[in-house]
Amino acid sequence: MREHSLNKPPKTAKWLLIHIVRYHSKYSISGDLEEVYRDILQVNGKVKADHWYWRQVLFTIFKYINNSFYWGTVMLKNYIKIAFRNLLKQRSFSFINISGLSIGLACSLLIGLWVQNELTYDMFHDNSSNIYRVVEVQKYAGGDFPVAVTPGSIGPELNSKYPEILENARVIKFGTLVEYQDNSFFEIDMISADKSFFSIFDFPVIKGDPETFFNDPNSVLITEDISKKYFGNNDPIGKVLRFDNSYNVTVTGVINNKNSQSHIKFDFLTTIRQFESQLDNWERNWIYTYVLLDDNADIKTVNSKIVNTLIDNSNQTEADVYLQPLKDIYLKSDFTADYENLSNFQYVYIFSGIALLVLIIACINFMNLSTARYVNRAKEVGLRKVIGAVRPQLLRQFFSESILITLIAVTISILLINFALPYFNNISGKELSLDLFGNQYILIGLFSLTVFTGIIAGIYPALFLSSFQPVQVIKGTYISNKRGIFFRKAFVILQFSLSIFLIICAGVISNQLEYIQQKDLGYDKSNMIFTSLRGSATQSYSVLKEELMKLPGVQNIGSISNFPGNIMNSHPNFSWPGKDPESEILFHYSFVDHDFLKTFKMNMLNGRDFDPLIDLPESSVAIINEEAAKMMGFDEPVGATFTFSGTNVNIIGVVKNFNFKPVYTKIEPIILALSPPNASLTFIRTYPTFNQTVIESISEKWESIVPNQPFLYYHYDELLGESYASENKMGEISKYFSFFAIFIACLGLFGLVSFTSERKIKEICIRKVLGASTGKLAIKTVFEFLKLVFYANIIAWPVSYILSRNWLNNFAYHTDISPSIFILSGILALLITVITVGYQSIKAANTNPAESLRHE
Amino acid sequence: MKKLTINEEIFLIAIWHLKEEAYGVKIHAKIEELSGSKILYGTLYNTLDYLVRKRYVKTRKGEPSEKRGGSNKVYYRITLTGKKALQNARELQNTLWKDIPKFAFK
Repeated sequence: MREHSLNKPPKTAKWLLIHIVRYHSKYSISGDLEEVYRDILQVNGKVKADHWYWRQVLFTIFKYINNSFYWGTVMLKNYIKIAFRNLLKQRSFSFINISGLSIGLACSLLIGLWVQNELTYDMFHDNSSNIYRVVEVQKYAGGDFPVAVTPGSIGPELNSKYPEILENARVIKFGTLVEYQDNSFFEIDMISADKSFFSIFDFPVIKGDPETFFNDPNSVLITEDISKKYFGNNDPIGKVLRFDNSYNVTVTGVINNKNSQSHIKFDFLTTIRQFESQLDNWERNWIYTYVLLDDNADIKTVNSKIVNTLIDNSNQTEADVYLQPLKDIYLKSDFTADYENLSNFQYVYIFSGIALLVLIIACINFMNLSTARYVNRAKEVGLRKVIGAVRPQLLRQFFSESILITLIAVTISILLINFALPYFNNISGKELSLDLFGNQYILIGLFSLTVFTGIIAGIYPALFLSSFQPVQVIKGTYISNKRGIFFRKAFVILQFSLSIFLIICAGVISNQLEYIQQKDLGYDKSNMIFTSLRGSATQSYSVLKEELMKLPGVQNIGSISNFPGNIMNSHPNFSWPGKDPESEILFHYSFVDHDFLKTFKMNMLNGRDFDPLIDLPESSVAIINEEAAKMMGFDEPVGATFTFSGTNVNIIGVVKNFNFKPVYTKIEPIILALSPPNASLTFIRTYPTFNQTVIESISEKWESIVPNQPFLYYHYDELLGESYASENKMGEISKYFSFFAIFIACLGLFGLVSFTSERKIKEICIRKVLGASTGKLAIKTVFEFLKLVFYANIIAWPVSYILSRNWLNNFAYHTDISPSIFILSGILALLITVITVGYQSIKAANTNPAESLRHE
Repeated sequence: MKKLTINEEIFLIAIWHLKEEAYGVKIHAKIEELSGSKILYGTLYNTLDYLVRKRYVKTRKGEPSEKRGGSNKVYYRITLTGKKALQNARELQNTLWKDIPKFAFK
């Protein structure tokens, strides 16, 4: 007896048996098997016995599952047959149903692809989970300011001091003139990086050997598009490009960064050598630093170790340092001076929300249309009940039907997506693809979407249809179910509220976008072209200015050191009498020439503009903006002095606040210091009337004064508009999707109305016979539906108002939500209803009474 | 009453033979003996379940035992319906084979 009790059959197998085979205890299966197991154990040993036991268990489970399936599949065949028959019998209705569902599914899937793309940014690097970016939190009087840029010295310092930090790489964003043979372009997506960049990041290499990339400090890596742009189909390796009209670089490799999911966008990648002299500095925050952490490092510990790095090594005594994980950068960054192309987690939410809404609208469609056709199915259901079908079986039937229809819709939606992808990619700026078999998330997504939609869309019809009483139905005394009608109306209202909600949101979004783009920036951004002063042009600046001003079309010329659309330079080392020594306020600054403010038509609030007669080249004067004046707290800012890095600067005027950053950020303090030699971006304001000819004459004059340098210019307002690219994309996408939502809702309405009128045809014809006019009948139906849409509006308006408010509050400057949006969408919905319903009811009302009443 | 399939017939006869001793393991052995071919336990329980649902066979709980890992034995017994079914099957067999001499298929 003791030997038996010591040897138990394999635990896992027994567990599986007990939990899968539902009737196992009824027949004491495990008991029987164990008995025989013990016998075999004695005779053949444990290995053979275990083997035998596993075999029996697996086979029993297999047989059990097979059995349960058998009964299921037998009926399934019948359900599918009936489902298909029904579909074909009511072709137009099925068509509307399926197309509505396909469009809804297609929209949701597209958004799903987009969301997946956003969520997996930067994941393609091998070490992605160990890559971090060094960021700071500057603590000032105003609060905490997270900053994404760091000083040049911090990377190497962290690398050498802490063993957990294996590598560091610094990345500098810059832009310059690039020339090759006869072509020259001013490129803005360029970065410069340490050699260690490739130890941390894994950008796919198309040409060249990564090992040798940075052997030559004057080398550059380019992307495929750039290669085509400059070299056509020729091999770019070894070719020489000229940068900034002052130095040459050789192409040593081609990298694939096209539409890649990297937050670091670049067309050119050079070695950090060109900035070498500026790297060893602890005060200036201007570089993106990335580090690679050891696998075993604990991020919390590392953060606590490095937090005082700036305090210990620099004069930035109110700044903490910490590491931001790579995966958070694209969606969760909220830093000053960060990359422009970053997205926001908020958008992921918004778009997922839109996808869900569209799907719900499509499902409601399906529900409504299925139940509307109940009369035709009532007899079938009654009969099935008579021959013995129970409710669960009927439920199973209708669920299989809805899942079947969903499957068909899904197949069609895949076709639709393939068709729509190129357009969608265009709008969203991504390169999404429906790679069914490569991307397992897509399959999982499709599968769960099908099941989810099939069940959701099928619940109501299944419950409703399976509830018919056989006697009533077969006798023919079945009357309309009051509750059914109520639900159907409720669904139409829900559908329309959702669609109206989407339309209102799209309206708000596009309004806000327009507002952003039209907002008064505090200066006149139109009619200006700008160019970059390089090489000999810098010396000839005053001559250039004088000669160009003589041209009839030129109004003004001024220069500044940074692109006025996004001035990121900032520094805390400004002090002034009366400044609280503990506080550190970040001031932006830029160098300008005497005519900058005039050219930009900025408004002075106090004091005077720069004057070449008064402000001589050696003087240190500056104009500050309102915000800066507020920060400094002078009673009379004009005439006061502040100190920057030891130099005293006189304030000669205060300029009205202007947006030197994207419009949705609050205006910060900025100092415009007079320093013409440093102001290398020259802006030329032309009179609005004759632009192109003026530009040509400017070009000629320029090239005559500065030979060997083609005059390259850009329209300022165009370039400015490009910084709002991602908001624009969002706007476009939302517009399209709300259009689809309302289209689906219309389809549903269309189908519903045609069905209702069909049912009511006898009633309509009798009324006609009794003398009612076609028009009156049609109007009556239209009004019925208009009532529903009216209710939908009432529901949708408050909800959209609240949500839009919340979204708009993200923007420092935003429009008010004007009532016209609500009214317009309400009218739009009503109009659509009138057209759809009107068309169908008129068609119905026009039927010849003789035909339909013939069989009475 | 539906006709018994040959497998069901074998099962029922085996159970009948074993009388009071008819439980899983023993039935399995008897069936293999009667039919001359091996069956897997999975098939056994599947068919037993079917027979129980058709009410040809009923179950009875027995004593737990150490050897079975503490679970009860379950005994099977033919019901009246089962006996009737067997009876029908036998009559059908006799009718079928009535006038065919033993050497007809040799």
